[in-house]
Amino acid sequence: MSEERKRILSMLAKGKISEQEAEELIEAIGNQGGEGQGQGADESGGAKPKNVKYLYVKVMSSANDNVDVRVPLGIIRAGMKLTSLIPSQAMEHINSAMHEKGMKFDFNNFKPDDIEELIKNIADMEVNVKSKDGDTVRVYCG
Amino acid sequence: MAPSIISLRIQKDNRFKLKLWLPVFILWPPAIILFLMIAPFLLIAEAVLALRGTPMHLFGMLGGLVSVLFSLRGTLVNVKSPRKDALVMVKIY
Repeated sequence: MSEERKRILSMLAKGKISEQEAEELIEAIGNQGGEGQGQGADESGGAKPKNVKYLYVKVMSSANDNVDVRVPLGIIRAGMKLTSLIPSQAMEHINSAMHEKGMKFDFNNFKPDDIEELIKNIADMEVNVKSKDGDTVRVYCG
Repeated sequence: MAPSIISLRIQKDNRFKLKLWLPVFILWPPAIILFLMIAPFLLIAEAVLALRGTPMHLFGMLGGLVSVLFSLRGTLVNVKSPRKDALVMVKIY
């Protein structure tokens, strides 16, 4: 845990700041970190691969109903690492069940390098859907 | 880094308002103590399973689950419907 975060939490525990203020401060710290990384990438002249951290899903309906979801990409890495710990007997069952459903995946072939490559390449992915009614769905990484 | 706070906000029709601020960082020290308490049993279970010919990496699995939990930090779910005056927001810091 960073020093700033610890300080905010202790201020919150002591009642010096409200929950709302603590939330805003923690968010501000997070934003500063993100901006710093972005600047680093710019300085390198775009040679560095994009350091994407989140997968965003944004749904906006014509009636102004909004759904915003932000999922950390690290969860893909952690989840895929977890699959490597599944016992081989169970993995065979999973693979055969997937084949039966028409998905020809072999989880034994997934390697950490593949996951890193997947995460690296997902940075350029963007899905935009717009319906006739004016509803929009946007999926992207950032 | 482990999630330290979960913020939950639910609002409906200006009548029902729920705002929760869950300090999950309080749970980590007891979780470490609990882990230390069950670690010997996990070791025994791992050894028994290996002897039976069905080896399972219980520590690895536990570590994997913890890393999934840790990677949840930064998750945000925000559902807003001004039409129905409803709001659901979940943030993990």
